[in-house]
Amino acid sequence: MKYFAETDGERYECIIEARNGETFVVVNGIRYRADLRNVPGSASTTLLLDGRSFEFAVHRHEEGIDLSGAAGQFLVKVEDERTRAARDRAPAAAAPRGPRILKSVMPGIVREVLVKPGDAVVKGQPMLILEAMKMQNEIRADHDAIVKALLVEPGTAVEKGAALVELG
Amino acid sequence: MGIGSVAVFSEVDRLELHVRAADEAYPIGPPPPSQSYLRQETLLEVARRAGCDAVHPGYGFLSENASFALACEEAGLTFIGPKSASIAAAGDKLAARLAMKKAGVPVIPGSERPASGVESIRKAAERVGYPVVLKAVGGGGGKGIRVVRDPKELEAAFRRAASEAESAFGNAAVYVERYLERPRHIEFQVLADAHGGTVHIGERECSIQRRHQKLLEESPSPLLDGALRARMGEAAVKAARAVGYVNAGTVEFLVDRKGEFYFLEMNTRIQVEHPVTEMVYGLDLVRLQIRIAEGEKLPFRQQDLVPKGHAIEVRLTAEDPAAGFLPETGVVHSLRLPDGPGIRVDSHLYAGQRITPFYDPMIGKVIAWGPDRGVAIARLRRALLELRLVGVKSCAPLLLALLGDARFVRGEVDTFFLEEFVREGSWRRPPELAGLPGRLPAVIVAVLHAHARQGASRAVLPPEGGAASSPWLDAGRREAMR
Repeated sequence: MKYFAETDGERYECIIEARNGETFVVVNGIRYRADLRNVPGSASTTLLLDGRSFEFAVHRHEEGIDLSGAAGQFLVKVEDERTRAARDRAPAAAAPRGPRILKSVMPGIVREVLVKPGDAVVKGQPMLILEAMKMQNEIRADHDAIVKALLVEPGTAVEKGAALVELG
Repeated sequence: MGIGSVAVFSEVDRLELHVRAADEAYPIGPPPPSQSYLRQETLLEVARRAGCDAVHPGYGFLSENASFALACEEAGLTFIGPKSASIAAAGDKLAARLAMKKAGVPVIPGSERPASGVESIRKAAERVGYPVVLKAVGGGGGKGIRVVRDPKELEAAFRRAASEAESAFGNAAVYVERYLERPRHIEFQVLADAHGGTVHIGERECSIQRRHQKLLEESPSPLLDGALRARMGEAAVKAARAVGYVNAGTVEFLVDRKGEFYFLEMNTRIQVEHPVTEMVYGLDLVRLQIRIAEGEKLPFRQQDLVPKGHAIEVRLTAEDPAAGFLPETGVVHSLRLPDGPGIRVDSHLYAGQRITPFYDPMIGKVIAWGPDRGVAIARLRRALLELRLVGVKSCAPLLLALLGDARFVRGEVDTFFLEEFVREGSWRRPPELAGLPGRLPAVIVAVLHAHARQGASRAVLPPEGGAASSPWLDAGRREAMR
């Protein structure tokens, strides 16, 4: 079975083979003998890769699989070849049209709104001040635009990805 | 010590470790600090109700607030720290500068009074000479600080610093100091009893900082020779005496390229980085704080204090260095903290914890002790390799790379080093382990997990197969998502 994996912008093509009760993984053309076990009652996974031992804490969610190992934290997205083929056949989604929304790149609490509807803003201009973990951060316009509507006000607590300002 | 403890918590902190570890715990209000942890009357009310006889302010919130210390004194509570007058003297950064100058401790050139507005800060900055640094009069801990190199940036920086100072310390006053280029940040731990005994407990090298927030501290400093150490230690004791200091405190110095040192500020509380001193001197500083607050004399003299070995602390923060240090919030799904010989972990983390945006991003400290600096570095690297944390990103990968950097290992650091190291970006590539690229084992685990799930899904497919909308398949997928 062939899989496509992606992490930190790097792509990997992996083939999984089972032979004589053993599992082999071919990654970008190199074959490894792999023995993967989940540790019962925990989120830990242990991997022996040609005798080299790695341990990860693992959490699966909608976007992919989060792994924490000795080398760091990784979000890996995996697709099997059938899913990818089906996706490739589907028509590409049209680019979204209409008003653009400035989204928050971090969670926080809105401290100050520096623009009002109708304002013309230039790329890089601070639009609001977001406080997170005691630091104040300027959220800047990512391109020249007109402010259509403010979607938050001072005191609003926002999550990462929350809509802040509608731009036209 | 046989002392019962009472904790306080805001609405989002009900499940936190300090609540669970305490003997008693009481709610004090909504999440924003101004409505809970900074409400003095509420805290005093809890102390009264619980029958407390002392308050330990820790190192956040009101720990350097003179009016809170005074309120404790007036309520008949022992404030475990200096007298409110000493906090006021050291906490007013401008008054402290004047007191130090008078006591013969060298200070950085700067303004003598807070700026009343944009014009006054402009004049002060011109007099001191650019680059300048704007500092909160009531500040500390890197908050409310702005460096200004270009006079054109002064006004915006002033407004931001004042606003941050108002929000963090409830005091918007800001003053100007000359900004030293590439200094080293070295601080001295001091300890004083109420009977006139004052000692220093060596230095901590804190030059590894980003935006004036320390990320790594060690003792002894690899940059200090015996003569300079003795002179600075003496100055630190002088500084403590100048403000009539009692209990544990820290005198911070900047050391310039020529080896000249300047008083930076005095921190009138136990500090985040106190464990490195504890490990090198074999002391329990918080225990000593309590003893001193009980009126006891220092149990040692200056000449009794002999450092042993080397200790390094790194601060784990819930920030993603790869995304410009954006704060990370969310649920900690999985956690394993390191341990082993010479390793100490001070952390409030637990599996299942929700990290909220309301408080400091620091989630823990990992401290390593070794007979020499090389062993301490090796043990700390090993400890960070053992850390497992899923759910929020942390700065651990950056710390790990930093500990392996040749310049750091040689001790060639100053307060600019970390920001340059971050910009260089070599830390972005995960370390190669067992001769394999850092990401490869993670990719293989993810693919094998996906493969196992495929197997699980196929097992519940109806024999004719293919029905993507099958409720069985959906149920199987939902199961596998857990």
